[in-house]
Amino acid sequence: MSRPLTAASAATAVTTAAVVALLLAWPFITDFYSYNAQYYDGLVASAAIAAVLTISLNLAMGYGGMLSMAHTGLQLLGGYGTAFVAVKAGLPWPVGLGLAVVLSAVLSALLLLVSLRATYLYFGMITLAANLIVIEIGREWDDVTGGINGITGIDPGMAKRAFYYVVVAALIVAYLVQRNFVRSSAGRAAMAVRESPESASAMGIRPATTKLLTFSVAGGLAGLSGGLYALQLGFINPDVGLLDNGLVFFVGLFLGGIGTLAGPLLGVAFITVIVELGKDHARYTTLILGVALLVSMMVIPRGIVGTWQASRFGRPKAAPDAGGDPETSQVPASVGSGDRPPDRDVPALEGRGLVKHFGGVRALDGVDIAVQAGTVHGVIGPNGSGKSTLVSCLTRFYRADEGEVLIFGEPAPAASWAVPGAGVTRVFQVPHLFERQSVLDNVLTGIRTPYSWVSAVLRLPSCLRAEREARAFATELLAFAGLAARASFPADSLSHGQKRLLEVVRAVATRPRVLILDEPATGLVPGEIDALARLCAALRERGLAVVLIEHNVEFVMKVCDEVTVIETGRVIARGAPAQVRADPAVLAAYLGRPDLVESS
Amino acid sequence: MTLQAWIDGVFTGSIYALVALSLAIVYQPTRVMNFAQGEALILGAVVGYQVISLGKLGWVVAILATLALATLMGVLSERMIMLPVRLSGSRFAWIVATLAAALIFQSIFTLGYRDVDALRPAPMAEGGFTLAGEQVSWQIVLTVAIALAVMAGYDLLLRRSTYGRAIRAASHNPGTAVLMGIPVQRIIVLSFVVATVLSALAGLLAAPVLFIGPAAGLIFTIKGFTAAVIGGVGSPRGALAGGLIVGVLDSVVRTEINATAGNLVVFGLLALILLVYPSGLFGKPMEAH
Amino acid sequence: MSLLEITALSAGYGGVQALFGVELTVGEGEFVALLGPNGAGKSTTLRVLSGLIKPSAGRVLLGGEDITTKPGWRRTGLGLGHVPEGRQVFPDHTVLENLQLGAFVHRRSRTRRQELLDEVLALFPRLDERREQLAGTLSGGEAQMLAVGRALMSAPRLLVLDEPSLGLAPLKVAELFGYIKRLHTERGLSVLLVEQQAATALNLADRAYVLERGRVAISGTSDAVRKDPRVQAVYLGGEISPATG
Repeated sequence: MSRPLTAASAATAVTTAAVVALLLAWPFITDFYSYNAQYYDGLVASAAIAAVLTISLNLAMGYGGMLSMAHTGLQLLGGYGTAFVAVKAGLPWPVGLGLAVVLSAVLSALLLLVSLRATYLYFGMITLAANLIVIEIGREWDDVTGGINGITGIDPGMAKRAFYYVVVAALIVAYLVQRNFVRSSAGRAAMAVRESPESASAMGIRPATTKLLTFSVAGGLAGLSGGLYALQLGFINPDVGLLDNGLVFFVGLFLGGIGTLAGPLLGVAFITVIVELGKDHARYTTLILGVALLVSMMVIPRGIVGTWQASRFGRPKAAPDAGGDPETSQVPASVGSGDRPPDRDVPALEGRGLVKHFGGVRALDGVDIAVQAGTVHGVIGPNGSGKSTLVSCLTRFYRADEGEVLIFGEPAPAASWAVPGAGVTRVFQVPHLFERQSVLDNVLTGIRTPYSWVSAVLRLPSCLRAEREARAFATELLAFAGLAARASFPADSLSHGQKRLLEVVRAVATRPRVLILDEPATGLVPGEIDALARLCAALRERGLAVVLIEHNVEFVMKVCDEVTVIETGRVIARGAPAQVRADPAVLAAYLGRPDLVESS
Repeated sequence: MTLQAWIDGVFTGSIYALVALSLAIVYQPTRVMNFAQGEALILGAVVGYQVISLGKLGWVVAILATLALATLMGVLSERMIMLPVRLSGSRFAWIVATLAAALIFQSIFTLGYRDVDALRPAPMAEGGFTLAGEQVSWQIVLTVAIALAVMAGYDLLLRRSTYGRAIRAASHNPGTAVLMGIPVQRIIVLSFVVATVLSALAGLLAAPVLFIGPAAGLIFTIKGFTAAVIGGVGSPRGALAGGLIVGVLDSVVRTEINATAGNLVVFGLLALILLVYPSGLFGKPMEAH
Repeated sequence: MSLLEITALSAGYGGVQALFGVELTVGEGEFVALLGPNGAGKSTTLRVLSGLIKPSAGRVLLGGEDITTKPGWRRTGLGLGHVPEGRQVFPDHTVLENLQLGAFVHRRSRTRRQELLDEVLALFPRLDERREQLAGTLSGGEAQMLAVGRALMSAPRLLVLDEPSLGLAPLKVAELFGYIKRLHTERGLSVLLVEQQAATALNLADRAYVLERGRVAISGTSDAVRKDPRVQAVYLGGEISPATG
């Protein structure tokens, strides 16, 4: 990847190398310094196995935003899989590990599929029920799981030290899977869905598929951890799956930093050290861990890694502050309807007779709107007049009660996530950025890439090439918006105006043919409004249709070719800006109707 | 034989119903499902064991001590759970904070009563009567009666009183409730206290009959949670119905087959209901966080 | 002494400052309008007033008493009646229950509550007709009336209305403002009205403030503000620059 080698990335590389070297040399170090080398090797191996599970939990909860209370159950399942293969079926243990991964991934996928409609809390509760059921089945199914006593005598058939390296290798694999997944388009999609399924859908990401993938990958890793657990300790029994045991992984995740790559490793390492130091008072361990977790949630809510990244040491060093002036005046060539010349006869986006009720309120009361390609179309109206409802109906975020939506003359897809694929992308009224991701990553989320998540995890050349191209495109777009200097900063470090611009840029990255902007000028300073106007004009030149929902009338009048005015769910005027501005109905809608209120 | 199972089921069911109600009381104004709720039940059992079995001080002292300690625990729980939830900003804060609180209380109980398998004081009401050839102890009758009274009372409070309306308002829209002059923060603290006291009383009543170990809190939380979900979180009637369904089902299957099958059926039912009736059987849906 | 006195108020959220030294007063029995386009700081001012956010500087005095650091729920008892933006009626409570919630500060006196209830129901006969109906099933205009009635149930000294015309048809707006006007003229209720529809609000109010980018840009009697050329500019586009003022 063609990233500049900064001091920070060099430091990361050195730290990574040091950690890997320490893990590899550990058995020799313990051999040299301790009479009890096997104990210390086992300690690190167990920690590594816990770290694999914590990484899995991090994928599901930190990156996927899915509350999982099934993780100890998934680990148990993996343990059973491996134990069954190794002990009962007498096959080699690597087959068992494979089965562990498959079993847990399949269970995760099933869990997610059956609970697709569930809200976030309900999903967590379904995973809890699943966890309890796995344990109870384990207790009951004597033939396969050994009942309450479990399965013992699980032997990898190699020296403990050799197996130590198997565990370390598994940890490295798990970490790489996490890292490569998170940095691929699949990972960015997962984070988009986590932040807001709506804004993910608005960028053409299908939330259900994304969640399925993320949770299954996390499940597979949990199974791997379970298989290693069984092999390392030589036994597996239903108590492994108890929720009580799951706390330590939550502690590790939150202490280290949820949603960070290194957080799980650091958190587990930290706990291991604490537990080891306090092993003479082992009965206080749970108490101490519980208190440590509560305190850390209050003091360092983002965990060790998250706090470090947010501190001034961990932030990218101050880049020259871009003043919002574009470094280039050219919109990247790949933006626009290259494949399909704008057809002046068929509107790019059309709504016919749209009606939408909320309870007793008619938010839309038969709205017709047609937007031509290569124009900027303003939709204005007072607060609460139904502008945003109109956008949501046009982009299928709301199901209109009556009326139809056509995109280039064809019926729009029924699902909101499919609408960007048909060429229509919207930007929300309230910023929906991924605040803790970098500015560049935010734009990348909008770009569809042709590679699969497997090739991303394996970093195949085709994937790396696609990723390079995506980055180049994103960088070009950022340069146009004047945000290039801030590409590596977290999005929440931007000013309000820059955030709005970034959102527009991210929407442009989906290569739309119709771009809908919902009140983009709100809260912008004049210079930023100019930049926005320039962007709209540039996109129009490229043959895009730009729909501008605005409150700032002056801005609308300046950039729009055509304006539609809405009040209480009806179109009260439409036409060229000057014509609309002089309309008495429009004046009344904006300034009120003094004639209806008795004067004092 | 089956009658005995039903009697046992109704008894444990009322205990689960009390825990379910406690969970709902905290959930309504906070949107926090308190996984430390079962620990309050253990507190009641611990007090009963300490005061009655070890201290020989009698039931009046036990009830007073339970009230006092549960109030303290409720206030403490509110701080331990709501402070991290507010400061953390993570969407998972509630589950992690309540689990941590649960584990902290659990380890305190296990440290104090390390060698005790079951915190089992003598019953408040000795003896019993025979019903169709089955022995029913007065303790069971008393517990069920108290549970019913609490449910009915809370239901009345929620529907009829000014405070009940305020609690419901705060649970719908805390911001607007504040504008009405409703002290939402106080309601939250009060909810924790009331919930903890109710669960602790349930523990005190149940301890002479059930085998309650010092580390059993999480299981009671989960059973109570199952009852709450089955009944629909938020309504006392739902909690009662859910508690009885869980209790009887568990008890009957346990008697007919075995303990594991009982759990399996109950948790299977939980999963099924979560999937098929996302609103519970009798209530409104739990809103997302 | 003014009923409400806001001095040198600065506030913001999430590190973004939204108000810069806002000064605003409402006299006893006065009707004051607070105007301005979206994002000018009107809502932030009201949030500070209701105690939802803490100001970074400045003071809020109600009837001479400093309420800057008072928790939000106490302010209702001190005489602030809120009609929040978007009405915010409790949808699963009946109309009657919503009104009774408004009288939460009078919970100890059943007779006072009944008195207030009778008054409000007499004022809004439509609410009386629908007293057992769930508030979530009301139309927009009725819900807005309920929100006003609910605020009146606390017997406020100052009624604060946040964009009550939002999403209502012009005739409903006129009806609603008719009620508010009557409350002011017949009962001498002090009103602070936050509005988008400047002309309508100026017709009702004695005095008005126009906010722009977190600062008071224009203030004075309604007539003076109405005649100020910058008002048109604020609403139908353009920036207020000191040069044009």
